[in-house]
Amino acid sequence: MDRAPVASPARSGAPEHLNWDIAAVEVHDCTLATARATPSEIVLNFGGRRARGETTADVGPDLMRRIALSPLTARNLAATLRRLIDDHGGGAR
Amino acid sequence: MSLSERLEAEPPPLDFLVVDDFLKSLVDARALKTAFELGLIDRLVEHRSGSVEALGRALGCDRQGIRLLLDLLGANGVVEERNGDVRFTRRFATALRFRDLLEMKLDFAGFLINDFADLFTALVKNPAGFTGQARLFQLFDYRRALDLRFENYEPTRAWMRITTTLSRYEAQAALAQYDFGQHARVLDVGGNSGEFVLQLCRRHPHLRASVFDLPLVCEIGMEHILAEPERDRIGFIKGDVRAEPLPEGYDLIVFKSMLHDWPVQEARGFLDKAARALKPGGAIVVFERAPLEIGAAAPPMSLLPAMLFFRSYRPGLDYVTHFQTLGMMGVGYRTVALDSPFFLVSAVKPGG
Repeated sequence: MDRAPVASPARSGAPEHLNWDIAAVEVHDCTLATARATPSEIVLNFGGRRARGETTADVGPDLMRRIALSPLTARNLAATLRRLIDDHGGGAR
Repeated sequence: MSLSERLEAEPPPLDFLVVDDFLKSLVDARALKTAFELGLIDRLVEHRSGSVEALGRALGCDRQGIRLLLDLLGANGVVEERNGDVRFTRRFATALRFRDLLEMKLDFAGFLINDFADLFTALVKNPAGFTGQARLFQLFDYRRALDLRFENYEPTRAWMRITTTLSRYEAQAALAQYDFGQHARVLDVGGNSGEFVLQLCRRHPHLRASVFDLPLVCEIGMEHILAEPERDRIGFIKGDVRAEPLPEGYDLIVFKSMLHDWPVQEARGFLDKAARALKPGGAIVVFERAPLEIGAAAPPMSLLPAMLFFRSYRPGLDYVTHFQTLGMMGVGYRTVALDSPFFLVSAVKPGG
């Protein structure tokens, strides 16, 4: 599982003309993401996979980050994701 | 104690069976589903009570519409009216503690009503014809779970939501019937989203578990337990028990509501594989629905799915006999009455 501070604007998603301080930012390569909603917030869970037990075939989830969004922020994020996936594809998997 | 406090309190085991009291007839179930769809249930959870007029306004119903709905809900024991004020009955407030089960049963029975209405003659006389046409078997199409393509996720999630919710509650009955705490590592064959072993691990903090299931089921299962505190003790192994041996190293192998999906010869073959893979001294547990017992009254609406599946359920004694044939020891057989009869059969592998 990748978990390291990065400085690359491309990797961070920051536009080239902005100089964001991302020294303390952690980047995770997530392969699992779930969401649940309450009336006041949308909670996102991001995770990956980690081997369990003695066999590599036995794999379980590893929770990396939990982020709570306001409903408005979640709507904006959903619209952004939808646009990005439509524009840039996104494999079937 | 306020209603919200009651809703959050830890329920005693098997209290969840109360939900079936509100799903007896098609009319009862349909009216209750409408109460959920219109937001009436949420409003009464939030406000505890309301006048007929205020509820009608809030839900956007005219006076006749809200009156009909409230009368039907009153006849079903969902709400009661005192001096023009509408509130939940005490019993329905108890049932709402199991809202996920209640809503799932409403949805599942509603989804299958046309199978019953249009295809019951085929179910009785022409099982193959029924299987070919019924929405029931289109929903439970396990072939999609072999392939990780994006378009297979939602159809697979649809039936996994049903089996997951049932497992959440049925596990409480299994935990009451068998001491899972005597084991260290459990393999749940056809273990679905991991909900059954999640309940076992929650009860027994030393227990570690693996789910053996089809690839897409494992993917969705990992999402299901991602945020659960027990996730570190639960893993998923992608495989097809029809084609592969079962992994070794477990002192308990469980088949929960899995064997009935397969013809008897294949089901016995799965048990043979489990007996080979199991640690000496370990146990196999089979927990699933027994054949329906229809007594003096017709089954309620909530049992419609089980009735449409009725050919699949076989007596637990079939497995008792097979375990004895395999030379297993200490074969145990217990029955438990849930919404219909269930059985739990356990057997120990010699040695160890």
